[in-house]
Amino acid sequence: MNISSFLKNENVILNIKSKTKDKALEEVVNKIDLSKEKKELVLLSLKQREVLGTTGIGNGIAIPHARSVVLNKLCLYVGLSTSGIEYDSMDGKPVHILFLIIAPPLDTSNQYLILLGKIASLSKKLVKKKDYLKVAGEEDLINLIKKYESDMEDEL
Amino acid sequence: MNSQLQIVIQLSDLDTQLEELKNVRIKDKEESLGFKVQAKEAEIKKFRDSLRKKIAPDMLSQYDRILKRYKMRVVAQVNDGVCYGCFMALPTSYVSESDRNNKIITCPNCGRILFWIE
Repeated sequence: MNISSFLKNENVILNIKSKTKDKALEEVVNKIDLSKEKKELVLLSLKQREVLGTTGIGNGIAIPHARSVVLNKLCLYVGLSTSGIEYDSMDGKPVHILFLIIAPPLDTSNQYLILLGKIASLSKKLVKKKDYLKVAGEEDLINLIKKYESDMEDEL
Repeated sequence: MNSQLQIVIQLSDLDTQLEELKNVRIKDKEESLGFKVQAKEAEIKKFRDSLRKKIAPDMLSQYDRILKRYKMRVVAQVNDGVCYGCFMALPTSYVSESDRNNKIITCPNCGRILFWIE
């Protein structure tokens, strides 16, 4: 299972305008092709997850993730913020790259945790090189993610 | 969507996440990835109580009965006529299309509250 297989151009937001965690989550959730009611439920589930512990894992990375009964398949979004989002991260630093994952309550193949693990390692590599901030378009970012993914597979 | 169903979904999603993070394997996995799982008990209780207050007493006791039985996932999706709580196909004429997500309907097999994915 590849991270990039979940990403299409419309799942990439090159410049998140919001400066706070709640607003940034809302901005990304608004991109999901769902009714207003369902979007609200997805957003609430993400906010509930934040209460259980921040998903800002430090070094400018946030991986908000939650389960929601309104979606029947896993969905992934990636967003960038050059100026940074105040996220209540573990190291107190603003977030520059955000991966948002929503999964149905029951995924029999447990894609959710596997994907979460892959994204956590990939994002740490991306941040180290900092080249993700220089991408010119949505496709560029997806290609960069693909490149890092294949490097990670080579390392195994 | 039925307004009670909407709140019940919120509560069910919250209870599912709480229960999952009680699972040592999942908690350990999340922590090994760098997530801090440190529930702010008071804040969660407040949040959970505020949802529960919005649910009618009968509905809430029904919710609690299902939660007691399954611990999580009180609300189950219906995909292609199948309850994703117990994976049984619902009888074809079980619920009219207009009642789906507009009334509180439970699975005749497992008793979970149903949410139809369109």
